[in-house]
Amino acid sequence: MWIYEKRLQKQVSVDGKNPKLAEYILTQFGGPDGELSAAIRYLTQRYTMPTGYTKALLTDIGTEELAHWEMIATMVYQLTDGLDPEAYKQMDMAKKYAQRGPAVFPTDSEGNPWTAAYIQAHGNDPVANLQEDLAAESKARATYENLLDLSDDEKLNRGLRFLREREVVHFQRFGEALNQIQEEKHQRRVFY
Amino acid sequence: MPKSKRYKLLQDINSVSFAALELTLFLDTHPDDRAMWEQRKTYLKERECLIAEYEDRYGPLTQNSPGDFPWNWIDEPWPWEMTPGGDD
Repeated sequence: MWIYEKRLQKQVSVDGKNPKLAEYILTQFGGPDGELSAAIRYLTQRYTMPTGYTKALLTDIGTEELAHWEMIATMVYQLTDGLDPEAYKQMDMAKKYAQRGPAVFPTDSEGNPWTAAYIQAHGNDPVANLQEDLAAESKARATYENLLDLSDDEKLNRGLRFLREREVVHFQRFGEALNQIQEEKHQRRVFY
Repeated sequence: MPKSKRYKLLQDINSVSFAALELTLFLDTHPDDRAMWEQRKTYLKERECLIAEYEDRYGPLTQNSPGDFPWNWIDEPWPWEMTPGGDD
């Protein structure tokens, strides 16, 4: 069961309208290493994890990713809200505008729709799941670093840096869970 | 199989939570209906009591519950593992 709190995990603001930057950031909304992929990946894997603490960690991080997904949507929204259609005309974003106007829609930066093919879950192999999760956090961190390379919007960058740091923390926690699982395989429970 | 106290308590929490949610949706489109607003408050109070009893007996229900030390949020069963029977 989930409940919704009417707030962002961290407040988001932007220096000004910037549809090009919105398009780059969109990949963290509906792209392969984006926040939606992260949330669905962890919340899918948790059912078959072997211990209470791995179920807890995937539940808690998966839930936080949904909050990050909302922050990303807010960034895209604020970068494009109220923009004159003329502003879209000279860029790829115009193709998205043609299909659905200014909707914030889960695609990658190039317009490819989100797909479950971005994630994996192995019900018999918690080690494989956690290694996938570690890789996912690394790739998401790398993506935020790419976005920070591309963005000159200082207000927005505060949000991007926060989200980047969360990837680092999640990577740390997944690493600890992986170590713990691997130690336990020498004891009563055998994972492979 | 007789239902455990824990399972029954969760069913009660579900019932009153669902009733409150139904009124939340209703109020989204009928914001001026005072009677339903009052009714929802009654459900929420009842829900609070049931959750307090549940957490006292079986541990935290939400991420923001204080829980016990050592940290018992990680305890099984998780919701998808819950069965109707049992001793508690």
